[in-house]
Parts: sequence; C-alpha cells; structure tokens
Amino acid sequence: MKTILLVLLGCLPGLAYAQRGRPGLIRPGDSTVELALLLTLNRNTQAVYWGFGPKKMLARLDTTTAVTGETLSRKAMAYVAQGDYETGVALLEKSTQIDPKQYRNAGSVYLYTLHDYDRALRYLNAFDALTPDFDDTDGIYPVSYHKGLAQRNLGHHAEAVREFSIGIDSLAKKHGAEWVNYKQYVSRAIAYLALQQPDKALTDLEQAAKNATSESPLVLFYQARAYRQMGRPTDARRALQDAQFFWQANRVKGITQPEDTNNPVTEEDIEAELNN
Amino acid sequence: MKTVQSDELRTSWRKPIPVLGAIWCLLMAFLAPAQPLTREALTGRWIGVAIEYDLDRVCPLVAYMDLRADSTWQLGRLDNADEPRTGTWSLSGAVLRLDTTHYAPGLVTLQGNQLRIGQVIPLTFRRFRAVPMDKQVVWQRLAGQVWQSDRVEYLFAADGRVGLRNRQARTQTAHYAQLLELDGSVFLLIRGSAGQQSGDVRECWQVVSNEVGTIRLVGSSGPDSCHETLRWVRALGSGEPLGPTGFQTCANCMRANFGLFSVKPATLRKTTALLRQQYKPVDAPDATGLIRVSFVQNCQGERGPLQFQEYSADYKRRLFDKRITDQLRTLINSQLPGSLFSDPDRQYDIDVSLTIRLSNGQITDVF
Repeated sequence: MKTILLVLLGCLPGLAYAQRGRPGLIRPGDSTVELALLLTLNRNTQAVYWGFGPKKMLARLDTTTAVTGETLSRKAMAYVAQGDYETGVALLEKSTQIDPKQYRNAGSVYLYTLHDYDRALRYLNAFDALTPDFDDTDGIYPVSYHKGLAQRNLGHHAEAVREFSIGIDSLAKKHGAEWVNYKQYVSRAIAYLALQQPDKALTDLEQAAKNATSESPLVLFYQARAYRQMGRPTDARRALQDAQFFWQANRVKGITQPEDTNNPVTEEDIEAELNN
Repeated sequence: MKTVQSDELRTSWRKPIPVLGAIWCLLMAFLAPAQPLTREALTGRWIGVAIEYDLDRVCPLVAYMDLRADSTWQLGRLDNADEPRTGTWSLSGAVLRLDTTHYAPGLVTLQGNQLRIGQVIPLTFRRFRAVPMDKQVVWQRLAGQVWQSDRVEYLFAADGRVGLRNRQARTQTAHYAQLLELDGSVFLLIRGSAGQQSGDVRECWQVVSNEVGTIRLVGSSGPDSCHETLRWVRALGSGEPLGPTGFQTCANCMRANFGLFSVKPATLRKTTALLRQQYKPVDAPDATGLIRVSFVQNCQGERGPLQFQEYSADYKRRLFDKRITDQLRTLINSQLPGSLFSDPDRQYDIDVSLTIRLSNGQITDVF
C-alpha cells in the first residue's frame, strides 16, 4: 500500500504540469507513461482527492450529508482557495462553532492564506486554550510556533520570542536541542534581530545550523545580519558569500525555491545584502 | 470562473452535435444498461474518448488500448508520439487487471460500447469500429475549405492551419489539423495553437464517412463518445484570417485553477515592491479590504482578462471605488511583466491570483 501511495505521489508533479498544459514536456495524455500513471491512479476506490479536480471536490463536499466541523473546514478551504472569501470565511466560522477543534484550522487559514494576523491569533489562542497545559502540535510545529509567527507579523517581536520559546524550550528540555526543527530557531532569531539582540539571535542560528540537514543559505543569511548588528562586517560578508555559494549549489541540485516559506530568503535577497 | 475566448469555443466543442443527435447520445448513455464485465465483451481494440480531470475540464484521450484474446495488453497514442506500453491483462470475477494494476469491482464499467475506468480522473474509451478510408482523399476534401458543425466553423488551410470559429459569438481560435491512420481508418485531430503545431489535442475524431458536402465523425463530446457531422460551407478565401480573435491559451486542455498554485515567494516580493512603488493612494471613503486579482498568462507571456473579486476587511463582498481597481488593472498590465510569473526554462500557461490588502487606501500586503 505504501508503494502505491509513493507511486501516486510520484505522479503529482507530472499531473501538476499537465494541469498547466506545459508545452514541450508533459501534456494531458502526452505520453503513454502519463496515460499509464492515470490508469494506475484510477485503481483507487476514493472518488476525489484534494488537488485533483477542485470543482469535483467542492461538488462532493456540497452534497455530503454529514455536516461536521471537519467537512465544513475542508469546504471553507476550497472556497477560500478559489477566491470566494465570503463563503469560505462564513464556513470557517461555522466549522469552529460546530467543532472547537477547528480553531486550529481557522487560525492556519487566517495566518497563512489570508494574512489576517489578528484573526489568526484569536483562533490560535482559542485552540491553545482548549488544552491549557499542553502545547498541541499539528505534526510539524506546535501551536505556539504558529502564534509566534502571527505575533511577529503583527510586529510584536517580544511576544513572538515568548511564543517561539514555548515550543523550542519544551522540546529541547524533553529530548534535547538537536530535536527541534531548525526553522523554529531561525524564526526566533529573526525576532531577536528585530529586538536588536544579535547575541541571542546568533546562539539560535548556531543551533539552527547544527540541526539543519545540510548547509542552509537561510541560516547563513540571518547569521550575516546578526554579525552586522554586532559590528562584525567581515564575518557578515563571509556568511553571505557562503549563503550565495550554497544557494547556487542547491540550484545545481534542482532546489530553486527558498527553504522556508515563513522566512523566505531568495538569491536576490542574498545579492542585495552583499551589495549593501 | 474565467472567461477566455477558448472557453467559448470549448463549449462548442463539448456540445457540437445537432440537438437530436445530442439527445440520442444522452439517451443511449443513460439507457444503455451497465453490462457485466466478461472477457469476450472486453476483448478488442478501444479508442480513447476523454480524460475527466474535473467537472469543467474534460480533455480528449488520444489513445488506443488493445485487450487481445491472447491476454496481451497494449496502450498507445493514436499519433504514435510515444512508444506504446505493453503487458498482459486478465479478468478474475469482476476484477480487471491491466498489466500490474488491479481494479476493484465497480471501478471499471462497460455500458454499450463505452468503457469507463476509474473515479479519480476517469478515462473513457469506445469500442473501435474500423472504417477503411484514404487519408489523402479526406485531406483533399478538407484543405482550403470551410466546414461547419451546428456551432463551429472549421477553416482548413492547405498548410494544415485551422481556425475554429464560434458561429454565434464569431470568436476564433487558431490550431492545426492532423490526419492519422489506424488500421486503415482515418482520425482527424485538431491540436496546438497559433505557432505551436505540436501542442495538445483539442478535438479527436474518427472519420466514418466522407461524402460530397458531408463528413461524418465519431469522437468525443465531453466524457461520452458521440457523433458529429461537418457540412461543407465554401472555399476558404485567400488571405482569410486564421489567427485568434482574442486571448488564447497555448494548451487546449488548460483550465485555470486559481489558488491551487501559489505565486513563488521571490515573484511575490517583486510584485509587492512594484505595486507599492507605483500605486498612488486614491482619496476614496472606505478604501479598506481585499482585492483578489486573477488572470491567465499563456506560454508566450500574453495575459488574458483580469478578474477582480473585492471584499471588505471582514470578508463581505463589496465594490471598491473604480479609480482603485482601474489603477490596479493598469499597473498589473503595464508594470508587471509576463516574465515575472513565468519560468524561462518552463514556458507553459499559468494561472495567477494575487490578493492585495488595502488599509485606508494604502497597499499593506500582497499575497
């Protein structure tokens, strides 16, 4: 079953290109390989998948008889993704009234999709309050991390540090600092930099560098900023040159996008900082 | 959702058949009882009809599939653009196996001469009936002539170009015609777009009769196979325009799924910077809320019409002062180059949606 899933996931990029009608490469049914993949995909007994046929997915959700917080939540996301914010937001609010667990999803939609940080914080706080003694996780980040990002985007950097620290410190204390996702350290470091505390930022970035699985242009970029704040321009320049080198090395490997969508650093950002 | 010219014509592609014919096809599709899957019923050659990507996105399936009596299976492109895939097939009870893929009972249905496989992105095939014909004779009849169905005029140039003109709206899109042979039968493909001869297929028909003034076709009409009749209209005028009358996507099977793909962070940052630099705040009351702008950009960097969805800060539909939306329209069309959204190494049609958050007339965020 896992193999099937992997095969299907492997189809996704090709099908995404097919969606966009990329000429010269894969088009719908352009190759027998893709046709065979479609035949394989169709072995699945599930009728709809997120990402395949969004209108079909929405129609299915519209006709579903079980009105649960989760179905309303999925429907809300489908409407928001299509740009129907009025319907999507109304469904999102309704989903939280039916099922308070949907506070987290509502918070995520407001934070990441609609960039409405006040509302995001309100819902994430409500979700966090459901289990006051426990920092819930969505499998990747604890809720405190999302709250920290909302606070940071509102310009509340001290509150952001406090929220980021809840997730980082509890995990570091329980299992060790090496088990914390390096992006959490980067996010806290950025908040420290905004508070003009480069020493603390640098400590976090050093830990982030240890935890990242490969050399990280993102970490090096913010290390350079920390060095600049500390009045160490030579170190800053070296870090930026390293960041540029590893960005280019990543590009050779086919990695062309920023490594963290919450803290996007691009090659242009590195170049601009080098020329600054 | 989006209204680009190709969609108007696609409507005609989906329903190009005479009304009675359409009713007949639908009746046959609904009334034909689902047959039990048997080895005898499945054995033979099947011609692809459609790939159902979504409710509004049904593309021709330009393929054939052989389920042979000796249990070998072959899947190939009608235009031989790729090597066919081969393997074996079997039927155990109601479970069909194609090569290594097993389909649970109910996932493959046979209705009349139509075979439907799957539910996620269903593929439909029709049973192949060979109608021997001479490809050259068919082309001689089409080339340099104008033919029409009930809704579409086909302007066939002698060099292979073909213009598809919506008879009602008088809008036109540009494509290429290609004739193929399979088992002595002739297939007419309408594919590509202006300057893109090898583009994807928009229409795929088998020519089943070729009489003076009338050409009968069998092919796809949406997810079901159906019949179509082309009637001769006139000779194509010399210099008659065959190009598109408006914006046309390069891919025929392109459907905008605004919001499914997000704009890359670097592009978003440049877009934000450009809009913030160039936008002049408008002195209008209640200029707070969100404006979502969506458009399609084809593989050549040409942009389709911009669509606006406008909301208040609490996400209720509203309309902003026209001076604000007009200014944004102008800025997006004049200041955001096509290259900003497309990847130079990967030129394909893209759908772009940007949400601009305004607070008291100022752009505060673009995402």
